[in-house]
Amino acid sequence: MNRSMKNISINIDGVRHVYKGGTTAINNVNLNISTGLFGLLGPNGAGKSTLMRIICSLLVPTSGRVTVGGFDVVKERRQVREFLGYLPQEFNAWQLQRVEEVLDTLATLSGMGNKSERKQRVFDILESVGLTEVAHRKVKKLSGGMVRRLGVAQALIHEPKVLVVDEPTVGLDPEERIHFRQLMTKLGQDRIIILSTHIVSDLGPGCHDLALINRGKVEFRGSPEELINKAKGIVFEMPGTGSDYNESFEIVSREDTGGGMKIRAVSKDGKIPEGAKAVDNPNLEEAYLAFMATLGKSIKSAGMETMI
Amino acid sequence: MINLKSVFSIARAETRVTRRLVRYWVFIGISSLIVFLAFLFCAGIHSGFSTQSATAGLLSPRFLVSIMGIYLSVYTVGVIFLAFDVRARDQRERMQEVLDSRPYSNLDLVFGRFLGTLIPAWVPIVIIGILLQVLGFILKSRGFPIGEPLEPYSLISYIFFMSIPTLSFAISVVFLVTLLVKNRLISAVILVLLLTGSYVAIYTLPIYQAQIFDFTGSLFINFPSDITPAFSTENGGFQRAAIFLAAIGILIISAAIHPRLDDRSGSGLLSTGAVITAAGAVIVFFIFWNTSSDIKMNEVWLSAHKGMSEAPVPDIRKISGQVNISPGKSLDIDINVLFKAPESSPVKNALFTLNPGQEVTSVSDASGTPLNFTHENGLLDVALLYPLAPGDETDIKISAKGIPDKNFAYLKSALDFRTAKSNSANAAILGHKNFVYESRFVALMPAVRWLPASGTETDRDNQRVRPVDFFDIDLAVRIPEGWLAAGPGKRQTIEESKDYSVFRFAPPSVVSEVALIASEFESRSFEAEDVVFELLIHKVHTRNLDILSDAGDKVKEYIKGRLAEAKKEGLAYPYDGLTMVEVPSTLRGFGGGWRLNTVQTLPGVMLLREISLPTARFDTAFKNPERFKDIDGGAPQVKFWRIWNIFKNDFTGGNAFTGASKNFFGFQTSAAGPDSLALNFMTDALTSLVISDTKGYFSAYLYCDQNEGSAIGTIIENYRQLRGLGETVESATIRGMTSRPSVWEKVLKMSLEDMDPWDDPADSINVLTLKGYAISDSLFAYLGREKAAEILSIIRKNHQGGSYNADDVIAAGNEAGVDLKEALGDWMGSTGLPGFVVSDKEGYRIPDDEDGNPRYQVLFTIRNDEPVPGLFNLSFFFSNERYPNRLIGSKPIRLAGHQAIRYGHILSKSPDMCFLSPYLSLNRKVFKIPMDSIDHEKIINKEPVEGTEIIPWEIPAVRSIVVDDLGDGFDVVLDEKKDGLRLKSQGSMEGDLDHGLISLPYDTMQPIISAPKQWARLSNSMTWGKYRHTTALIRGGDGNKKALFTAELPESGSWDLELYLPMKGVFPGKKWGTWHLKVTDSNGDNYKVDFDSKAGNEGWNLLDKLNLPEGRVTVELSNETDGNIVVADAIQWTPSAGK
Repeated sequence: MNRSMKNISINIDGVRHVYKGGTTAINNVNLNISTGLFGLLGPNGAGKSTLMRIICSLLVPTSGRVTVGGFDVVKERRQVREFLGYLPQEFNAWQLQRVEEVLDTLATLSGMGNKSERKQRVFDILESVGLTEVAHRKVKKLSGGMVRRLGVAQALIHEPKVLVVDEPTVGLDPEERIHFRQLMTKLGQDRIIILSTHIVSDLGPGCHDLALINRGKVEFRGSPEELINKAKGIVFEMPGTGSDYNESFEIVSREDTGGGMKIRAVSKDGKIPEGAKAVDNPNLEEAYLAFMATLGKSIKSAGMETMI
Repeated sequence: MINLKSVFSIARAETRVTRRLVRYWVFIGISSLIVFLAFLFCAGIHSGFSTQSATAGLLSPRFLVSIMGIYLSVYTVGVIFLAFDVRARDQRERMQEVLDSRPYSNLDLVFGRFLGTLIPAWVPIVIIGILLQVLGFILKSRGFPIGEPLEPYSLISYIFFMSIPTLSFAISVVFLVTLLVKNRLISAVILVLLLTGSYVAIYTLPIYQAQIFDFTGSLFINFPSDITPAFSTENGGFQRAAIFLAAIGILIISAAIHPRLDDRSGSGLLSTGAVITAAGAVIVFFIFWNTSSDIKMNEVWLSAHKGMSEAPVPDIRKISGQVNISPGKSLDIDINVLFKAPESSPVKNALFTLNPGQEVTSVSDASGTPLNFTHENGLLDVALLYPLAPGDETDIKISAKGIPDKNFAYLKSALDFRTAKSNSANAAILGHKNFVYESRFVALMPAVRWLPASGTETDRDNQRVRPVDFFDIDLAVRIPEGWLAAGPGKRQTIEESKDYSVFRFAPPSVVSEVALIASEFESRSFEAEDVVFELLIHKVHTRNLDILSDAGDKVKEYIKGRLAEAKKEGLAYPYDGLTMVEVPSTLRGFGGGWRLNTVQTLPGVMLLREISLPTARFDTAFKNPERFKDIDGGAPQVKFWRIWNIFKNDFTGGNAFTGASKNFFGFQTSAAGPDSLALNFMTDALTSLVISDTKGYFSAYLYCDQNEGSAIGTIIENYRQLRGLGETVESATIRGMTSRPSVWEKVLKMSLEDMDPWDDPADSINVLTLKGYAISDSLFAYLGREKAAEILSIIRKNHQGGSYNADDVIAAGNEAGVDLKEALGDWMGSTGLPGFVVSDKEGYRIPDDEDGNPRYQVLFTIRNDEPVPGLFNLSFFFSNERYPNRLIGSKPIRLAGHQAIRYGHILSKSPDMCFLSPYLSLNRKVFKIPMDSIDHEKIINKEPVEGTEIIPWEIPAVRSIVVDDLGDGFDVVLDEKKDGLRLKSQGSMEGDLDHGLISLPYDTMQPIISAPKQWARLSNSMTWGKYRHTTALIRGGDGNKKALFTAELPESGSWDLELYLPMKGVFPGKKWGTWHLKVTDSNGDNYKVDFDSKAGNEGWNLLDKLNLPEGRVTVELSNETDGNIVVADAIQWTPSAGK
């Protein structure tokens, strides 16, 4: 296999997965993902992680086919895995190993045979994720954020052509999140990054393609701009009182204007309430919520309650 | 197939994790510590005792690589708790998906993890091995008294062939189980059960079956040898390979069933793994099948021999000819066999036993005419041209080539290493190879029948039905140049060329069997009384030859003296030479049959195991010769003593004194008929006493059943405690082995004539030893050396080359003027024994002698209350004297059945204690005669009495009723609360039972050891008893365990109740307190009596006077006390008026 191939793509063709208990996690998902940062948005339980695990060859789809760089994730796992860097949602590392040891081992297991090259790479990646100072520290002594950064480092250690990150910013502080978004934007220039999240802001400016998945189905596929456009006329703002509950809209945010309260909300039924004013430039979060609201999802179920 | 980089990377990671686990260091620490301590212990024992006893050679650290097996045993358990977490850890530490998405295969993963677990387990073994080796070199080179390097082949074998397959297999099974059973705790339980199961199988199944479960290879360990070093036993290499192969297969299966998704076909991997595992299993089963076949072949041979056992047995008169030894390659024999038809029947077909591994190429008669023959199942059946009339002689020529079949030896043996259980296999430390025929060493042992032997193998060792065949020998033996050979008698050089040497062995007297030992030896020899004595030590062990060289003159002097004396007494050494030759430890040092007797003693040859004198630590013992300058004779004298001791205290079958003595008598004639067992033992023992003043003990069973450690411990303890009373190591050993109650039970139950030794072979040796030594000791002491030698010489002269029976012995006695029948009674055909009672004793000072020296008179009345005659002596102990002058013994005193004597003796000092030592009696062992101390100031003007006077035998009438702990009226309640049962014949602890109670070894009466929790019996001369002196005792408790003394009071009235308190010194360190007794009379009335044992005196202590009705009265002595011991020895009822 030519590991330097540039125009790598991921094809997901009619993929369906049903768990043993009969729960359909994903259903007839079709996606074609090419180089760049690809956002996979959806509420908890939407099937994002299942889809990512299928892409990472960790789960065999009940039906359908997934190829990575032309290699089938079921029949050609080894080749697929050579492309992949994966940061699962719940990552930790061997507690008794040092940070650099974990990375060195995983680098070797990812095919980096040259010791000096590997050593340099470990050094570089630790620097890029800001873990140089704790390189000799055992994993069990790292903070949660450090472990997450180590997760990113391990996923990138072998410079994979495909990076799959599942809820990557959980546990990171705001500064780290910014740093992470910048990193993803940078990395997304010459590789596929599939970033699964329910925190829309994680996608950052580097994301030009995304899919909204809900109940195992892709409900939207397009650019963030297209999603935002779809939200125009549904997102509105109006003065608020503190008890503004209404069945016809979902409040996205509240703003204290000094003399009163201003709320931003998305309409569930496409109608703006009386006294409200449609927002001309909804952001991606609002667009995502607006879209989800049209699917009957509450903010909470869309995983966005923290924004309020 | 496997990406090694991935494998090693995973392995590195796993190793790191393992190394950082606390439990890893715990297991390593415990395993290593035990190994080091065990080595230090063995090294210490070996260093301290190897020049004192060849038996200590068994603990030579150089040959004890098996100690490192402890590491594996402990660490294998550790493997379970290290490897069972491998998958669970990834899940727990949420590394699973990250790892699973990496481009390596499950094979890489499993093998990586395997290596990562194996390496941290194995590297410490290498380190320990190297450390021990380096430590050994340093200690030895620096002249430290302990430590020497391990035998390198065994060490390498252990590190590679033993450890790696064992750990690999254990780890692979742990992986498999953990993958099948996802819960690691359940996995651990299953694995511990599997491990326990395998050990149980190993320890409970016959070895050939246990081999199947022996993944550790413990049953395939080769006892290390410097002379014939080997990495493995014959099957061991295959077995280790099979285990390793199975481990690989199981690992592949583990990879196949690993839940991680992998490209490789799971079923394909599963099949591959299954095939490889099966291949390993097949090899293991092949070894099992092979061993089973050997066992079956043994049965076929036995059956074939049994089938022909009725055929007339030719009496071989002489074997002469040539033996061509090409070590490890071929063995050619061209011999003439002169034989005689039995007196009772003609011989048409001459039947011999010849090893089936040797191909008989031709058989011809004296004229060269070829004779028809068959050679099947080790039976060489030669059809003679003409029937040989009874008593007629003829000779035939036999040519054979080929290496003997290693299994054709000891066909009927109480211990077969293939069918015995593994604990009996401990006896393999006495060697397991029936013979050695290797490029470095040749030991052609007689049992292999590499030379024709008359008749079949059936009952060859059973002289009750088949006499020994003695014959002359004249062999020319060709061996490689530079080699030397040991054989029967003197080695004569016939030819020496650049390629080979030819030596001749033609002793002037008959032999019963022939051994040839050859290798590159260093020789030391001298001639005395026309006999060449030669010591052949292998070239790798010449160190001690140099160290001991200055003791050579002492050795020569001693041997010359013994030879001259033997010659003077009519027992001249019969051969022209005696060679003591070193043999590898792997050579089986004991024979077959029920006796498993030593085979290290052969006509004209004595085998010297390499773990004995050749490797004993004389270097450290004599590092500083200045130490011995004040000793008379200096270092050479001490060296001589050490050489003496090393052979005398050899309980592994290499006792040179008893061994060499056999040449004088036992290899010249043998008893036959029903008494042969006892007679042969007795005459051998007597010969040894006559020739070397030595007794010996050998029982291969001592090394079975893991008794070795405890037995040796008992012997050492016995010796340590009793050496002040004249105990030697040999007597301590013999006593330790023969004085057990179970042995005595047999002695009293079955006569030697009726004894079937196969019923209980191990104890039969002890019964034989107990009775045989008692008789030989009695004879030797009673008749004196000269008379005993005369009797032996008469038997030898009359029956040399043939056999004798009990009547011949009596006749020889008569010829020597001794009525042996009258002296000893029917010791072989009867179970009766004398029983000695000392009824009166007194001691007092009498007027001083003419020189003014004080004189003390001791007087005893001694009865033999049994109808059987017996001997004893009296000894007097002086505590203020130095050993060995503390004990002075009388000459043996004989008492006929139902006879009494008055014995008087004058002593120059007042004895502190007096003992009666029976040779063989119902008293079983020496006992103290309680006497009041003599008043030095009071001189009694009586005539001195010296010697014995027969007085009327009469058992004095006594009114007292004594209930002893051995009597019918004694009983115990083990625990009233628990079961309320009175269990007379049941012990709660494992051990030898003595009249229903656990028999306590002497060493349990140590200050630091508590009294037993349950009623137990101690045999000690300081306790009360008619014949035997024993007491029951127990640790202080809650009062639920009771000793009961029941008696029948003949009349109502006032009775004195007394309790016998043994000498408190018997129970050192014990706290004496108040004991509580309850008396229940025939009316059911109870009386409580307390006894302050602390204030009590040795002997009878009056407890109370009680008015009691006639009839049954019971005294209960409970274990309740404020001390920590309660002793129930005896009680006595005496009518108060009679006091």
